[in-house]
Amino acid sequence: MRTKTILLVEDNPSDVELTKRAFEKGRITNELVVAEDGQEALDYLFRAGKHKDRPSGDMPTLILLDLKLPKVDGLEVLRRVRSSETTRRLPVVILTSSKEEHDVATSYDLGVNSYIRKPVDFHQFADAVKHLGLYWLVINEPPPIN
Amino acid sequence: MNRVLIDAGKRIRGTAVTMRGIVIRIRRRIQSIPLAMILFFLLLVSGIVIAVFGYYKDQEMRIIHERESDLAVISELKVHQIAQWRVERMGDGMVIAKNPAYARQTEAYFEHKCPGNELLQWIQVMCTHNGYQAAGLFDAAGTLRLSYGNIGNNIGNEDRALIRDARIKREVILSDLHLEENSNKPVADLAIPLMTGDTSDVPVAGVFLFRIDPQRFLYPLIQSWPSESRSAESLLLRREGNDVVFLNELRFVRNSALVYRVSALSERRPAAMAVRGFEGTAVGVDYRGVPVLASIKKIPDSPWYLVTKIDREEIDDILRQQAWMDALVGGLLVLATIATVGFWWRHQRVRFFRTQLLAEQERRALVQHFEYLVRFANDIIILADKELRIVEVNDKALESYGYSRDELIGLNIITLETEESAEHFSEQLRLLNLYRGARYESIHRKKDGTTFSVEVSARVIVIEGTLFYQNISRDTTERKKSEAALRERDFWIKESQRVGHIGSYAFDFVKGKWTSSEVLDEIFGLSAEEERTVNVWLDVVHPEQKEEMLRYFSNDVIASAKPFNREYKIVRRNDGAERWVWGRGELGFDRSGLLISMVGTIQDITERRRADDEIRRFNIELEQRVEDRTAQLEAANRELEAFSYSVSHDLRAPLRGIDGWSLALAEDYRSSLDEKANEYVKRIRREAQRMGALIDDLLQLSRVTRAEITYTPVNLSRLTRSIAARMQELYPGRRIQFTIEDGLIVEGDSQLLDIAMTNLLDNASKFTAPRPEAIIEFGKNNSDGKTVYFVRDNGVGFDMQYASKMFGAFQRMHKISDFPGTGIGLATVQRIIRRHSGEVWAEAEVGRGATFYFTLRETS
Repeated sequence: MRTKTILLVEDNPSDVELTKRAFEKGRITNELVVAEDGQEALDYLFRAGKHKDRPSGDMPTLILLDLKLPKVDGLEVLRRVRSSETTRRLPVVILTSSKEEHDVATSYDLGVNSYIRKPVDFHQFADAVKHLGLYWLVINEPPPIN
Repeated sequence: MNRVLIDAGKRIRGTAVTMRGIVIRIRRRIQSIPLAMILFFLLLVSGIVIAVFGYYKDQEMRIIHERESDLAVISELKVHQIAQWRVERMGDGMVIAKNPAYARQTEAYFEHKCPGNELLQWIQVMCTHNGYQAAGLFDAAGTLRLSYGNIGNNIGNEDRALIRDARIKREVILSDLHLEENSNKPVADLAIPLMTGDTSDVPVAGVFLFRIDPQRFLYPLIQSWPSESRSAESLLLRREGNDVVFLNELRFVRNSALVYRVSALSERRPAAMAVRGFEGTAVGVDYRGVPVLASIKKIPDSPWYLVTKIDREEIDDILRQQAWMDALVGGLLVLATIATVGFWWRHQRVRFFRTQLLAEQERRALVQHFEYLVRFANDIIILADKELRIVEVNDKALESYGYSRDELIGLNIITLETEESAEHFSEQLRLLNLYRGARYESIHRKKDGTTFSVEVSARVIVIEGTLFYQNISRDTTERKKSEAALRERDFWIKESQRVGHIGSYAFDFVKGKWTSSEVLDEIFGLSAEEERTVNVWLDVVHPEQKEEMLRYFSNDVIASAKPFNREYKIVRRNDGAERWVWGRGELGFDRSGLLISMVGTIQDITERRRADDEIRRFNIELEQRVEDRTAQLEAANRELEAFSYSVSHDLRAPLRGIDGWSLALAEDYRSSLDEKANEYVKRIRREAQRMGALIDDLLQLSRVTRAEITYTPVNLSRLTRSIAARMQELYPGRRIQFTIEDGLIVEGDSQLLDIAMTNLLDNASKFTAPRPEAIIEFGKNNSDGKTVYFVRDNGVGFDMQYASKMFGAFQRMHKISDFPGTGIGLATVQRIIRRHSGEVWAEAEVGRGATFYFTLRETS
């Protein structure tokens, strides 16, 4: 059985830590790979740049994607993920501060699986992350890897 | 006209002419005329006479010529017949002479070898059949041996010589006519020598002598005439020395043959002319001394001449008959002419009478008519003598001046002038005498001293040698008044045209010309002399629009029979300035619907166009400015959006950090933090979360300001009910009673209205918190015909003193500790309502609840 990796694309270290903490609080122990910008996330997924030696077939079970990212923004990452054969079935959950209608609509148009706005209240945030992990990693049947 | 009037008047006074008198006068007039008629008639008659005479002369020539040619033809025929007769006789002789049988028979008889009865029998046959009177056979000695008829006793010396000649010459000889021995009758002989051969050595056996009686054939032949004539005659002639012997019997002299002679030298005798060698037609005097017309011819192969003649008298008879005939015809023609001319003349005279009579009647009617005209004429007519004393006036004069007829007659006409106008009178009189007529304006005085203006037409006239002044005056007071009125109106029209820059025109389609007012001439820059045609108008039209205007005029106006109504550019004729004009025109039609005229105005609208252009330019500028502003606004909006985005994303992230890490501190270091520190951490977290709410509310406020409005029908009742349900969830454990009016459907943006209603209901819920049972009501009422919606609660209310501040952002009415909130909710509500073109206001009282009213854009 392969490990269910979570790819967290987030540039804010505070948020990365808080997310990790939320996962811990939620007893979610899956490996968490952090990409600090959109480009790195793409490199990871498509085995490019510093991730070029990563074995093939090793895809994350869930991608948590922030929208506002340096270099390549979240929507672009989502677009690339959805347009590539190897990644198009990956569950992607947008985890962002923005509640802009435009962002929500575009994300769904591009085929996002969930859109979650990070609340200021950490309790609420941790709660959301816990449920998220539980759902996507445990309840949900992952797509077949091709 | 004036002269006619006076002439008529003169006649009325001077004549007492009865109808009978008129007729007599006319008759006298007619009798003086016929001289010309007689001349004409004489001319006609002499023409006829000349024509008839000419015709007669022609006839005469023709008749004489006919007679001449008759004579010539007859004479030709007779000559031919006589010659023929001679040839036949010679032929008889030759037949016998050339036949040797006769010679041998004769020889035999002479030598008594045979009896003579055979020969005699033959001679007898010859005489009987060929018409010889007698015949004899002579031997070489000239002795008669055989004879038939009475010949033996009638042989003279002349005959013997003939026989001898024939024998010696051995030829057949026809003797001339001569008188027979003893009987003294004219005869001719044919002597035939009889020879057995042709050669001269053959002796002549004997000679036959056949005697011809000219009475039997020759004379009748000569005397015969193809037509009846009492004087026609033919003469056979022979010359004997200086005499002419008549060989045949003359018509008018008995026993004249070979006896009657005339001198061959006789000048005018046709017979003498014949023997002198004349041939043809001649006029002469015959043997009786009677003038004759004769045709003279020589008979070939003979010593004979033939004269055929007819008495001139006989021809003259015919001519006389012809002359009588012609004279008769001429006379008849003249008579016919007289009759025709006479008839015509009579007819003319009748007609002349009739027209004269009618003219006279008409003239009298006219005289009557003129009398009335003068008497009742609308003009004042005065006749004055050369001393200027009035001798005659008409009724109008009496009426105008207020004098009676008796008063006026004998008055000096200068009396009628006013003092001022009298000053000019002598000058006018001078001109009148100089030119025999004058026309002038003056002011006349009535009997009562009032004055009136007149126009006088004066004339010097002479009636039966006496000089008069005839004045026809017209009261021009009314005319002057109306002229003044007309001038005034004209002035106003011209003034208004000038002020309004409106010229007028009238176009005559029949003539193809138009006329224009002065102002129009100014607008077009046309000179007064220039002819106004369609082309001139087109010339004035700006070259750019020429084609367009021609098309408009012919298609849209003339062909469609629609009024002319166009603004167009022109180039002013005199200074070339470009102007804008507004042309209008109404078409006029005659009864058959034919287009005949267009009348209208042309206004110089250059100034207005200029102003319009200015306005247009301003508008364009304004639009540009609006566009620029809009672009700026859009840019600002975009910036604001980007800013909002950043705010929502970037401002919240640190808050989340603050909250998160504060909580982490509290959780991870619970043991090392005391109660107070924990309380602080809580406060930090509360503030961070309030900040988050603030940011969210601000974002919403900015979003409702920016968002595009999409109007759709919104069921406000249903929307409010769903929000109420949410409120119930939001405030569990509270008793809130919502009363929501059904069927409130409005036009608006459903999302924005949702936000507004949420804020209003949330407020109401919040401020009713202290009540054991909150009552929140939503409904509508009408005020001044407008629909007003309201949300009423039984909450704590507020002091109306601060009502005006309530809708500003961050304005709070209560302490946060009492009622949490950001103070942005009502500002958001106001924005939304205003964006729906509505108003929002509140009524409240502290402790007694509050009511929020709002209106929305109402669709008609």
